[in-house]
Amino acid sequence: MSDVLLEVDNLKTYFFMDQGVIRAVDGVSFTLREGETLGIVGESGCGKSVTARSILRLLPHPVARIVEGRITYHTGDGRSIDITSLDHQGKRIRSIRGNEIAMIFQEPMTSLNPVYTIGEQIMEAIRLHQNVTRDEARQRAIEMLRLVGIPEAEQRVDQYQHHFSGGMRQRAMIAMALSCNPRILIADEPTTALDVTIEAQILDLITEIQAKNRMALIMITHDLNVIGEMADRVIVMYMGKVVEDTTVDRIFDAPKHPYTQGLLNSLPQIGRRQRLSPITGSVPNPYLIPKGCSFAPRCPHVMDKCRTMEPPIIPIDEQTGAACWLYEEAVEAAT
Amino acid sequence: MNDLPLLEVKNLRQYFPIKRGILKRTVAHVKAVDDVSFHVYPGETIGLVGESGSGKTTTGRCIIRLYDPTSGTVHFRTEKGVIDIAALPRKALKPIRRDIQMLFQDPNSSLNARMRIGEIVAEPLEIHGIGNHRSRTERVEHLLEQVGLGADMINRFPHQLSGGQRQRVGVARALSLEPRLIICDEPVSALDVSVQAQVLNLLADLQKDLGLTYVFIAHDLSVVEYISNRIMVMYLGHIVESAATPKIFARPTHPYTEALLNAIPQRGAHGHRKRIVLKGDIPSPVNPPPGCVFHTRCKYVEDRCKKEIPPLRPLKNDPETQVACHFADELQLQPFIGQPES
Repeated sequence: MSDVLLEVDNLKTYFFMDQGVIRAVDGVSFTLREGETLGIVGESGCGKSVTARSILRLLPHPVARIVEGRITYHTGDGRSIDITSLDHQGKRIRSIRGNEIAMIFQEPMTSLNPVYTIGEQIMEAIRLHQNVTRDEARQRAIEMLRLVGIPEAEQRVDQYQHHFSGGMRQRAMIAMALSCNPRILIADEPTTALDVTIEAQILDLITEIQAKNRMALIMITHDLNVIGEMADRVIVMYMGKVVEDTTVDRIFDAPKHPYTQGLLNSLPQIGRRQRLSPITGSVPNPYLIPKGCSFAPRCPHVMDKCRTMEPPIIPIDEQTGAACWLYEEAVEAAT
Repeated sequence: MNDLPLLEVKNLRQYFPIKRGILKRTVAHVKAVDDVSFHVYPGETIGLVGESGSGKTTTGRCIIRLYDPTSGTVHFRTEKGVIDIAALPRKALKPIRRDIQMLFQDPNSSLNARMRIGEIVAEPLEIHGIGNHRSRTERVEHLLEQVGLGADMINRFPHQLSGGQRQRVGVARALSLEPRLIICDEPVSALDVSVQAQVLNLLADLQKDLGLTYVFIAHDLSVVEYISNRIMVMYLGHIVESAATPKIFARPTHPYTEALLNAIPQRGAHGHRKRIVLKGDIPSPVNPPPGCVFHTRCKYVEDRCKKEIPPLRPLKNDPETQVACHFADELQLQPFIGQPES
């Protein structure tokens, strides 16, 4: 299809540590289209952030390496680039990173530089990618700050991050990320550190800007409610793997994978004063990944097969796939 | 529920001085908690919600006297009568600590990394001189089992445990002295969803089995809704609304509560709800606005709000709900738009 921007195919990013190898991302595939919001949800350590950082090649070098897979980025002028084949410090990736694919991080506190003004940091991004003068870049920075709803942008542009509150820092981060009109925005837990009323402001802001620019959004979060509010499609990750790939409606109405079901049953929902039924046990040690399905030790529907053979993503219908043997027979029976 | 409250907090104030210069002169005060009153009945769970800087943690810490309150009283009912915790000399606090315990947010930093799990859970017993070594070990084993950890955890160190297991150790430690009241300060916010649910269920079960009373501090409204009988909403050091849990969501009476509910991310909420946008940020507690503390961000603001502080008072047609807003009886506020029952 022509409006596909990004195709991730069987991505494997491993961390080579002294104690062994951590398969942080272990065979992740998805596609992202123009204007679409893809939610990536999962608990800590499931590999959602590493997936995002692999796309921008922002991995800690040399500990983390992409060992397999392709990340195909379709540029505006009809060419395709395999991001995994680029030099991670090279010119090509730097012309994409921050320009065509931008990212906002969880901690606005640590991702802004305290010794430069907010304006200087936004201008740096602009001048790196666009051929403009200092004055033009400054004007653009003020414009961006205004766009993200920072009052008195002309004064604010010359202030430092410690003059900004948490919500304003995150707005400044978004201003920086959007300053070059990216085609893809990756938001890694953009509201986790924020209070709920500020979170609502930031989510509204992202949605508004996305609607204006037809930008594609990858929303990474552990919060299913944020996914429910923002995403069109969702992938659920567990221990480096995609366990379910579906639409936002189906994930709430008809979750397929036992892990997705467990997540939903663990979530307190206002008005449903029902006892929570959490997933038993905890995430296994990343150095000792269980054989077969990695969710098998915690799965209420576990079968013999699950402990020996790893399930592929089994397509359940046109929009939904789940990596679970439960659906193998159901699908075979239907065909 | 008994008739007599277990805990009665009245006009509690906690001001922290800001000191400047070489003489360390006090130049201003952070008014972290400003004139807070409430009571807690035995066996119930009071949820304390609010955004960062609202004073919910400070309130919890004042109850257990981790801070010395600037003014106000904290009456706690013991078997020997009612004691004002706020007025006790420091040395007299020890017996109170047997009755009131605290559960902290971050199980990584609230457990001593150099102590074994058994030692951590036994330490309160040692400090209070309860039992001998053997009886304490038995008690620790029992406690660990009670919180869903095996007795074989006794010799492990905190770093060998997962986040959820560590928080269970925190629960076991808080239970070791058989307290009647536990102040839970964001006990699940550092945990993943699936583990969070395990700990919430554990807290609910323990309450049922042991008749515990909780003051549950959290910023996540869905968690507070799940566990609390009553909810108090705090803003800038004040309680702005206090009501039974279902009422808070079905019929908020303070404009700040309305805004909070409206901000909860919800599936498919986009386009369906009329977003209430709070202007700007929470004002500084050093220099809170005069009159109603919320007036700078309230969309229903009138002149009176800028001058007169609204007291926390019962609602006219529902005296069990308390609200600090001049116009609470007249305002028609938006309830929480939950998703339909499936």
